[in-house]
Amino acid sequence: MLIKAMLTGGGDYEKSLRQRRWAAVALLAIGLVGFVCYFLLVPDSHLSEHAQGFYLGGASGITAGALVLLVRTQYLMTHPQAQRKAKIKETDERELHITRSAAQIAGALTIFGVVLSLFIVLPLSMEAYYALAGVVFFYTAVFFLSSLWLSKKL
Amino acid sequence: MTNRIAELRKARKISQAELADGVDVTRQTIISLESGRYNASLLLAHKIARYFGLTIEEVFLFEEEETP
Repeated sequence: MLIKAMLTGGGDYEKSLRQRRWAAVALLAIGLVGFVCYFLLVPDSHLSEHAQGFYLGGASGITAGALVLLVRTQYLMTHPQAQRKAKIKETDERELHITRSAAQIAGALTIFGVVLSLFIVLPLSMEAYYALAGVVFFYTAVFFLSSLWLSKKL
Repeated sequence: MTNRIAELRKARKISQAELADGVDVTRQTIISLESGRYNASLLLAHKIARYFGLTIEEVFLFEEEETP
């Protein structure tokens, strides 16, 4: 979804699809490297069972997502009727407005929840506190940097 | 902002799906525009006006907000 959102726009949908296909290939490469590392390197490592499961889950998820994206993109590139339908759906301004608004609401509620959680986790776990404080710092930094970039760009 | 999309569309016997197809948006967007739940961007307003062979001002009615 994120790749589709990032690589849709500019008016040239064919170009967006070509970029999306390359993004899918790149993601597939990451997933496959993850698989290879899981089978060749992870068994001899000191990773816990939980971490190994997370590793395999990550590699599987990325590979599956990349394959779906690749197959769908290839289908759209070779079927003009389906491509036109997908283009209208993905570039429809109301749909984009809904996506942007939903992302804004999700971002605002997430940061609200994280700040609230800071007060709850502080007496319980310093590691969790640092992780959550890192998220708040990252959000704030990204917000100001993107505001700065957008104010110059627009 | 109000608009005359539904009125113009019905007068020309065009379905919502046909209009949506003609201006490259989903039928749901046309429904939202007609019901006034969503305001079109300048680009879409231009496309819709051009589709009907009219100017933007003839399709979209801008209402000046009352100032105190």
